[in-house]
Amino acid sequence: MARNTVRKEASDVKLRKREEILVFEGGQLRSEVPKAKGNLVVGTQQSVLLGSFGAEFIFYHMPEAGLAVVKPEKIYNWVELELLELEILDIQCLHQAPMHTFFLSYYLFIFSLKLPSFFDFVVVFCMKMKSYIWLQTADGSVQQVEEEVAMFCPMICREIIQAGMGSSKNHAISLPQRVNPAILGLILDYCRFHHVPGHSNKERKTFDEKFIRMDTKRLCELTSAADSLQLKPLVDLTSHALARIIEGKTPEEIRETFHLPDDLTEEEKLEPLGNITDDPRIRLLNRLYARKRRELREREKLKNVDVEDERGDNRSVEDLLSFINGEDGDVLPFADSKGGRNSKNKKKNRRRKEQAKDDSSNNPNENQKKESDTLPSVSPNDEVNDILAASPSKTSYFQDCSAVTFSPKLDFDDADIDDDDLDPAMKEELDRLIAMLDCLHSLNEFNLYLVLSSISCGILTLLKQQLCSIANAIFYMDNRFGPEIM
Amino acid sequence: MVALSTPPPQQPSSTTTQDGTISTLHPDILQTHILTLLDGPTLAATACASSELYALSTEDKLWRNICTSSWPSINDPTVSSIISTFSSGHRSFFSDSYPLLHHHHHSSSFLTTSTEYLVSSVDIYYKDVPIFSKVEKNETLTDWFKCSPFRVDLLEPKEFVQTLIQYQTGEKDSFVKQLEENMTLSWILIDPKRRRAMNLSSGRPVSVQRHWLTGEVVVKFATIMAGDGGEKEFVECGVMVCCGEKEGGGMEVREISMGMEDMEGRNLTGKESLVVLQEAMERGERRKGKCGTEGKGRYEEFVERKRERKERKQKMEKVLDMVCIVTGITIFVSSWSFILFR
Repeated sequence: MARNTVRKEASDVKLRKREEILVFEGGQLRSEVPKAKGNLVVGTQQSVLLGSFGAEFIFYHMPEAGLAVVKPEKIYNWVELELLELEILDIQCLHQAPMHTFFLSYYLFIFSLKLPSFFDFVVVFCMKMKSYIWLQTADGSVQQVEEEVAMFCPMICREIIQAGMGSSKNHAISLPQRVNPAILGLILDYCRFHHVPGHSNKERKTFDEKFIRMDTKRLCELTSAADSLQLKPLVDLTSHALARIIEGKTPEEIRETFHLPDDLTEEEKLEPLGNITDDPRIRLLNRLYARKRRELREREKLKNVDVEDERGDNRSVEDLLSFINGEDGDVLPFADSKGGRNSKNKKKNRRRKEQAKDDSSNNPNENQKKESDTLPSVSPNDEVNDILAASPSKTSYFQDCSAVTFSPKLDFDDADIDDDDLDPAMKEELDRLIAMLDCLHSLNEFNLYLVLSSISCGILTLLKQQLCSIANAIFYMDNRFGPEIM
Repeated sequence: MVALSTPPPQQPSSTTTQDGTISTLHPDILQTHILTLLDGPTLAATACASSELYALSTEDKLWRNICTSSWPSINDPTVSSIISTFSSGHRSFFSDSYPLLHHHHHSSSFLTTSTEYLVSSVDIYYKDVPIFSKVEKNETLTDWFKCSPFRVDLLEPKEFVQTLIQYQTGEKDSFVKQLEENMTLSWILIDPKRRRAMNLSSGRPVSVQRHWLTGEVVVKFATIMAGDGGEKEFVECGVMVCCGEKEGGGMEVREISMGMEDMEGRNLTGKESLVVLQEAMERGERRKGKCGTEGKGRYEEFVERKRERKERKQKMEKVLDMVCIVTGITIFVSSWSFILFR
């Protein structure tokens, strides 16, 4: 047998095994730490007969110590220990007994003894095959894992080689905190499949695709764990899967999928749309949001609203109608933040009043007084029913209406928004829009229907006149010049 | 990839409070592995999801990668120095230039600022592979610019750009169709003074035609913007790419130019175009196109409007003519009758 240079791993391993003695007695091999030189040690260990190499040696496999090769004679003590290295690439030809779970692509290390001729010698193979590594997760549970599977992870590999850990339960390799037992199981499944060189790329891909099918929570845990174990292929696989999940989703969906808190301000969310300080529409949006927030806050503070607010509402309706008809373009008192609130209590009060019928009769009377020229004298209920269907479109008209000429005095008290770089015309337009939106917010249902009905009637009559005139003109022209033009 | 040589330090809060959510992922993993795989719109959506993700997604490096992969011409030093002056760097540049521009309404109160120059960053793609990129700088202060028709030319008169696209000589129409389906262009106009940018191209071509005289194929990409009103109610900003055949069957690009036309078909002068462009850059909405044909739809709408306008004008002129003739005849008849029956 040739003597080669000692490998580092072999010497490490050898050191561990140096103290052990193998004893063959009664058909069984034993391994025991010698108490004293020259003594015969007794112990028992199961061994499996594997076969013979040549005529001289018989192979035995022992679960803890590895492979043993013995001559079937007794020994009494060690004389010397030498390390030899023998690479057995294919042990199939060497053994006759069936191999159970063997992967013999590792090196065989042979300890040879130079014994005096009258001693038989024992050759011990210490082989790295089918040995188990002990892993300990953060919660304390210890698992036994086949070594070659565990070696797929660079971190575990390094721990075994450099620190020499993992060989026994007491010296288990402690895994990083992010790896819990369930995830460890998944990772080991992955390693078990992939470390075998025999699979084709297509098989690996199919395995990967099936492997990835789990909920996002698990996937995130798996990514963290794989990253802490530095298992790069698994990290890539899981990152790609997560990226595919995120792709094409709106922010709400992303928040939902990953259970994230919605803790960004509106301004931050709108930032990607462009320079928010310059775009007036974005500023309008921000203003409205700020206003809404303020309203909500104030509503919380003042839960019970008095009846005195009804007066404010009444006035607001009248003034609103007046400005629509262009009568007096003056101060609108509703723009005050308190008056602009839209609470449920007000609506309840309003409904109660409706039932009482004292104020409700007041309102249409007042309204009809103001709009004597445009409103037909129909009871408000009928109007409401008729116009109800058309109200959504009218609302939109109302919102877009920038042709109404009036200049409200708005009581803006959100000082945080900087209006300095808005030019006056734009500001006016904006203010107008905000005022209108405010009106809508501050009105309750009944008032809203009234307003809308009156507006729609006014609009319809105006339009009718104009349409008639245009139609006449066209008709006239067509009649006179029709044949000549064509 | 961040290689951890020792086991990572304990993460105190993330593992205990929200197990298994994306917040348990170490920020490095998130950044280097996951966010780099996302494209622009997805990254913007991620930035709006939560404050943690916002902090991670607004890294300029990520956005710079996305911009340079979308538009190779960004790598030019002039452009990159301008982009670095933008408010959020590449991120705001991407949000300005990626979506299609929609500018319908003109507001009279827009104040123009005088910019010294405009930078155009152009990329042409065939089947999504960039085949040509160029950056062009145009000064805007001289009188010559202000009075002459606005036009930006990228190639010199005799300069041709060779491409690897094969010119199919079999049927004449097949090449036209091929170009229509596969060619896309991105023309980003950058205003360094205002620190804004916009994409003037419609993505896919709005029209591909063969020129009647030269036989070259003219591919047109256009955006419609709102102008002053009247005949400048809508202004078309068109990019024309002329492709010709080379001996040997290859295709070469012979001319790339951009011009502005109003509804009458007249070219706008430099001064007028600058006003329209600046307003569009500031006030124009950037909307993500749902499919590639939105730009074409709007262009066709514009063409339709032009036609209607023309018809209306013709009708009015006819009416006016009739009125004048009638008035003339009436005067003639009345004057003669006055003379005869006096």
